[in-house]
Amino acid sequence: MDVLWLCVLGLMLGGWFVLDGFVIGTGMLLRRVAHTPDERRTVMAAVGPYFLAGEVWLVVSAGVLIAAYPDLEKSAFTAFRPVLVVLVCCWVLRSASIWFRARRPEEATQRRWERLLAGASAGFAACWGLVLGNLAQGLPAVSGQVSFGTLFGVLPLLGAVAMVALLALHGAAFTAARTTGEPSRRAAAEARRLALPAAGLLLAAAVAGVPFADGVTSPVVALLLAVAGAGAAFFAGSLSGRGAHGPGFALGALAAPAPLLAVGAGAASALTELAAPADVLDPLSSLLLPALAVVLLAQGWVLWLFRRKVDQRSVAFF
Amino acid sequence: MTAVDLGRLQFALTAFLHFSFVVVTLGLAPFLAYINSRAVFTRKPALRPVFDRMTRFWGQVYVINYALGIVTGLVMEFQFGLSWTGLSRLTGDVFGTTLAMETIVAFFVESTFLGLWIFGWHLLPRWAHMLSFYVVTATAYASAYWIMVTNGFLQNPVGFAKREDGTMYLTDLGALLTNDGALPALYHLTAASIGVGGFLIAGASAWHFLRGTTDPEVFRRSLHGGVALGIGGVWMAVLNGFPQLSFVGDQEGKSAAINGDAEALAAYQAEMTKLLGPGDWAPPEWLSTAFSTMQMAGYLAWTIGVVAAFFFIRRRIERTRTMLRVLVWTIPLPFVAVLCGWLIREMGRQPWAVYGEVAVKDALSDVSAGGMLFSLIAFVTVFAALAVVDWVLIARTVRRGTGRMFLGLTLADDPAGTGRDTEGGAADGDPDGSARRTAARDDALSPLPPL
Ligand code: HDD
Ligand code: HEM
Ligand code: HEM
Repeated sequence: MDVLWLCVLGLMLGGWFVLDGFVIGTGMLLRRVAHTPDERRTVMAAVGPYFLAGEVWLVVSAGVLIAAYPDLEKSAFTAFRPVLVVLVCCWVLRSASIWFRARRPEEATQRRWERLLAGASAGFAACWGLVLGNLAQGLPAVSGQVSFGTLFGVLPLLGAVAMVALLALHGAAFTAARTTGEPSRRAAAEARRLALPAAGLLLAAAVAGVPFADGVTSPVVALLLAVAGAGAAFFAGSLSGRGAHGPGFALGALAAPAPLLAVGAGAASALTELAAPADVLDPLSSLLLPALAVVLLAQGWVLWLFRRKVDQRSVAFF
Repeated sequence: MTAVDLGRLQFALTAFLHFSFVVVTLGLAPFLAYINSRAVFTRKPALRPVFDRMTRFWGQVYVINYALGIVTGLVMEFQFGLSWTGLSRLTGDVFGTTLAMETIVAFFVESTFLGLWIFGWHLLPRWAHMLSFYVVTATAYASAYWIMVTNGFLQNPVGFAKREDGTMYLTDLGALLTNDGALPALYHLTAASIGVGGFLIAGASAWHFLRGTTDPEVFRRSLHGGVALGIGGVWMAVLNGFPQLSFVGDQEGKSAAINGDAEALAAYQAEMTKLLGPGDWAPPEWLSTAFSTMQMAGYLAWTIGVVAAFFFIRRRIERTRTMLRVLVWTIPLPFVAVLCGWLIREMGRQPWAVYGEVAVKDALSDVSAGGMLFSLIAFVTVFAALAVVDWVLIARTVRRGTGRMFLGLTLADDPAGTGRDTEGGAADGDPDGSARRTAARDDALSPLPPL
């Protein structure tokens, strides 16, 4: 049971990195890939249908964490509290700027929301990099405080920059694939430009994690996953840049959750010990797993429904 | 202030903000589902565009309001980890289950289908598009149910047993799901939400008649519907309020506070001091004021609604400016009642986080006062700013009327930007332009065949 619930948590969080990851990336790059108000409207129409359906995966992850991993929740939230407060604020500002950007027609107002969107999206990604970098240094002790130096150590900082580059790349590959014309072309160029930095930073973070291997239960698996992620990121960027938008996006979707999976797989056996006891998990499974299966089907259907490139008939809401 | 005080303040302020949006969501959703189905099923071709405009107009208010419902909700969920890990540690095995249910069966589905409703406008057949809003409505109420089960456990813990280390675990799921601390409150609260939504719809429509609306069809129907929902909702809230009192009777501190009984409060304070050590434990006496305010606000709003209903005879209301103005000013009344109600429910629970089981001071995380102050300031400034923006946007959307709407527009519809507002918000006062826009609007609504 504890392994099953770790997989559920991994699926939810990993799904969030894939689905909301490109919304974050597109948010960072919006003004770079779309130069006119019309183009920006088109790019927002491209992410629009995925934004609501993707963001909620993180809400569900938090629910699963509270229910199935109360001790992990307690230790992680206590140790990383300052980072998490900033993370939640960035999340809120990111989402609010998506909702509000197009509600007023004045270009100056829209520009302000777009800048906020770019900053908050980058901050959101960077905070995730900090959290994952910290987890890669070893799980915090239950209710242990973490010093400032550790919280912002080399590995977490590298993680932060790598995550920003990785999600920007993912967003660029998405925009290249779901739009046409100028925004698609510029996004593809952006993806190509980001390929090497994203892959390189991810590798650097993986190397920086080696000294902490003692605190990680399966360091080899973690390293392999990180390297695989770096490879996927590199090819995602170069394929997108060469016009193979579909495969580029698919590889980007593999790369985006790689850091999470590396950290999670590395600590898996330590994590299962933090699971709630079996007398809690059993009723939880009978209640939640069937519901989850149905919701996942609905999500799949919605994502499939909007699989086409945006065109003039697409709803423009954000 | 100690970390506990700051944590309580943070929770209270963010919960208030979250709830002021959620209550509108819950109030508007059934109305919107209803008019959306009228638009789909009406037999009179002339009425279809009217219901379509209504759906889009109130749908816009709904989604702008929803934006802040979500973002404030995110912080609510994370606050259990950021501020109240003591609570999660001691009782997480019980209420973690209901919170997880809420996220999976309610939020997950709600977000997915709201996205479908917003973006599926021309993609889905009309009936499927309408059904997706029914799913949104059902899951909004499902989330209210699950959160009230969670909150009900804090008010009236049932269906659990304790391990040796003091942590609780679930023994009787049925008892938890039918808790006396949850269900009556849920009825009271959903009725109150309908009342809030009703008076909001009525007040906004009254405003349009005051300004001389160019779309009387839409606002006449909305005014009628809003007043009816307002009267009915508030009345049901009052009816469901009195049974709550018998439940409150089991919480000595709360009943002493709402009766303004200083003696009983002192006795409660003494009793709690014996249990928890020295401290300021009893709920504040001014909760009795909050209690009478809730009741008065309810009676007043209800009376206004009933009086307004008499003016519907021969449409007199549309010419009676005083009545229209009173309806506009009634909008905040049910909000005041709702917030007072929550103050009573949550502050009356003091000093317990889980009534009689876990004291608030033991529910807190290991956070310093400085750390708590940091998050308090961060969340409250971000939210206060966004809430103001959101309310201004709602007001402007209402003001702009049905002339220029953004919900359901495609990229082809208005390439210059969403609803470019050349008349500076006074689209209503422009009868010539509105005819042209009406044509464009109906065009935009005609569903394309599904892909
Ligand atoms: C339009 C809103 C509205 C109106 C008119 C009323 N209430 Fe209310 N009341 C609420 C909105 C509300 C609420 C915000 O929805 C609360 C907060 C928590 C809850 O479950 O409902 C609430 C709580 C609440 C509580 C606290 C329950 C608890 O602590 O568990 C009591 C005792 C009452 N109400 C009783 C009444 C009575 C006797 C009313 C008769 C006039 C009344 N309410 C009108
Ligand atoms: C204090 C504890 C609460 C927590 C932790 C909480 C959590 C959340 C979260 C995370 C969301 C966003 C969901 C999404 O992404 O769709 C949300 C929205 C929502 N919440 Fe809450 N909430 C709380 C209180 C309440 C209460 C008291 C109610 C109603 C009775 C309520 C009803 C809703 C509804 C209907 C939504 C949907 C969004 C909206 O209506 O705007 N919540 N809540
Ligand atoms: C329905 C789900 C809710 C849950 C699970 C919940 C839970 C909590 C918790 C854990 C606290 C802090 C500890 C404590 O003081 O006991 C608290 C305090 C508080 N909450 Fe709620 N809450 C909910 C809904 C709401 C709503 C919707 C409001 C207001 C609109 C609200 C108003 C308050 C207030 C005013 C306090 C401070 C009380 C005090 O410390 O004296 N709550 N709640």
